[in-house]
Amino acid sequence: MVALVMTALFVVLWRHGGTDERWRYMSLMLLGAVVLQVTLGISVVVFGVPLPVAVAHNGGAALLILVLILVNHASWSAQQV
Amino acid sequence: MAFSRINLLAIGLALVVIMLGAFVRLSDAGLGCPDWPGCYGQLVVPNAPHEIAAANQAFPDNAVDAGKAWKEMVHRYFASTLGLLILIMALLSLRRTALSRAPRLLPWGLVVVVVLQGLLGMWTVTLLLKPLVVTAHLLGGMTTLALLAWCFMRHHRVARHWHVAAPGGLRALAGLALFCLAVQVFLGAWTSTNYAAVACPDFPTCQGFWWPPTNFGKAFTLWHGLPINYEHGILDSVARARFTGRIVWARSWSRWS
Repeated sequence: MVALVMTALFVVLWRHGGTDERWRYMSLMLLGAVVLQVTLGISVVVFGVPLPVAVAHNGGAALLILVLILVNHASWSAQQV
Repeated sequence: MAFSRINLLAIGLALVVIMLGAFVRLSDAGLGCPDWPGCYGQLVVPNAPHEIAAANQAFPDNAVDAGKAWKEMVHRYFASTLGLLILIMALLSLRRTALSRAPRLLPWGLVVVVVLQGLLGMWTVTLLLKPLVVTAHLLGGMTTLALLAWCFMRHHRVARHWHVAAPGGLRALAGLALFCLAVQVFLGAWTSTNYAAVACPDFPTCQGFWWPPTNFGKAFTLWHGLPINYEHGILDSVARARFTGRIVWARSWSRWS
């Protein structure tokens, strides 16, 4: 579910980057953060929860939250077309 | 602009506190100090021999482990500093004139959230790492960060002049994505606080299954009662396997659907 929603969000942001490139930057930030978090998550499981990776996974979650807050703030304060 | 600068500093500090909290938890130092807010009754970890002797006497079931205790206390020091920064922000927001558009509700809302976070930190220790409390504490930390970020964007002059257009559906989608993320973070925290992260040693299957035997009821029992020491988990390995089977299923489903 999460992957589906994130992908949809990425696509919409990317396409809307045509009008204003800032949306495109945000879509890339989102992509980067999601890819990082998924990679860390898989590493946590596959390598038996190594401490630094697990802590980084927590940090990755915080980063994702920051990106999504940014996207939400931009979306909600923008003018509606 | 002092408000925005302190806000930005608070965001950075919040990230540090979150990672420190994860570090404390993941290195099994969550009960490094058996009490709160002091450590064995002191402001600083006992290190002189007579201090350690007195501490061991006062807390006979929790011998002093300086390594763990220090990790715990460093987390508390940083968190307290963050609390102080948030209080300063809230006080600053009162001084502004009607002309400036400084938010007031957010900074004071943050004060409430961070006080609650402090309490959750206390209960993490006094309720012996109860999964629901530790999960709430993690979520509280993320909420604090989210609110700090929102506050910064509302207030900072660059974000305020965001004159762009957005399609109507974007708002709803962005909101939905944030909600999904919140659920995912909860699931992750619930897995970790129940020590179920290693129950599926393989990926993407779980112990060889695509859908392992699950026990939803037991896995998501939120309240097991008091007093139980939750350190290292109370569910047996089979239950944990089913448990994570459930979590990983939910997350694998989210990833591959």
